[in-house]
Amino acid sequence: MTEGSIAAKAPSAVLLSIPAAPELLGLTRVTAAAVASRYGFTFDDIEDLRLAVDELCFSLVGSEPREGRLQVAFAVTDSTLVVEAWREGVEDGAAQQGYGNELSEAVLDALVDDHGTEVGEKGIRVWLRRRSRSGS
Amino acid sequence: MDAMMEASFTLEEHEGVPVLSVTGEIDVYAAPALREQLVDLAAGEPDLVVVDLEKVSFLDSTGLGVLVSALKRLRSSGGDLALVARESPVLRVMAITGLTETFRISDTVAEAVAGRPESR
Repeated sequence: MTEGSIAAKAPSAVLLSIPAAPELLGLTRVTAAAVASRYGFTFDDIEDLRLAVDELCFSLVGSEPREGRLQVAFAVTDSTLVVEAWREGVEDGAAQQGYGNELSEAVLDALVDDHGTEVGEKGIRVWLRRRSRSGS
Repeated sequence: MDAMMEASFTLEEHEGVPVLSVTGEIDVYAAPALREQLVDLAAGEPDLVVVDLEKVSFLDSTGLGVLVSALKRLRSSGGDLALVARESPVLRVMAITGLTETFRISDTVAEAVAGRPESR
């Protein structure tokens, strides 16, 4: 199992499916905050995760509406939130395009313990892992 | 917490300095509106533009990019951009990207305006 498939396959995973549109990325932040809060992440953790998940999903959508739907899976295991995102319902090759940039990458590097990108036949999957700083 | 607070902008003048007050969340969706406001302001080649971010509850890399572009644009014409961000989440993202040294950041609008460069 790759890092990126953990969140989507976890029994307790929360799955968000939205049109791949910039105006809806706020929903990914709200969901990240809700899941992290439910599992006891601190306020600072939650603020970091809102930003990190926003940057993660931005890398798949960019600044314009895209074809298909943005799928985001959230799962918490051992005080670590794993988030995985990908686009579905797009033509072959269309989901291979990423929209992240240097600044976005720097923000992700600073906020999470680990993050990555996997490119497969169905397109790009991006993921992040962030352990709760509360030590719980 | 206001889950998805759309951005809004208010433009006022303090001692002749344009002050753009921003409220809400600046993400990839709201960033173009902020860019438009700042491009319009920079077109007048002012000595200083102040952007008050105290009521900004979220700022991502696209919002940061807009601010950096505005700073470059203003400085290229001899002006400057000052930010007001005392305890907002803006400071966090500025710090982790190393941009706190790039911008002049003040606690209040009055301080930001007081630090204006000498008139050209």
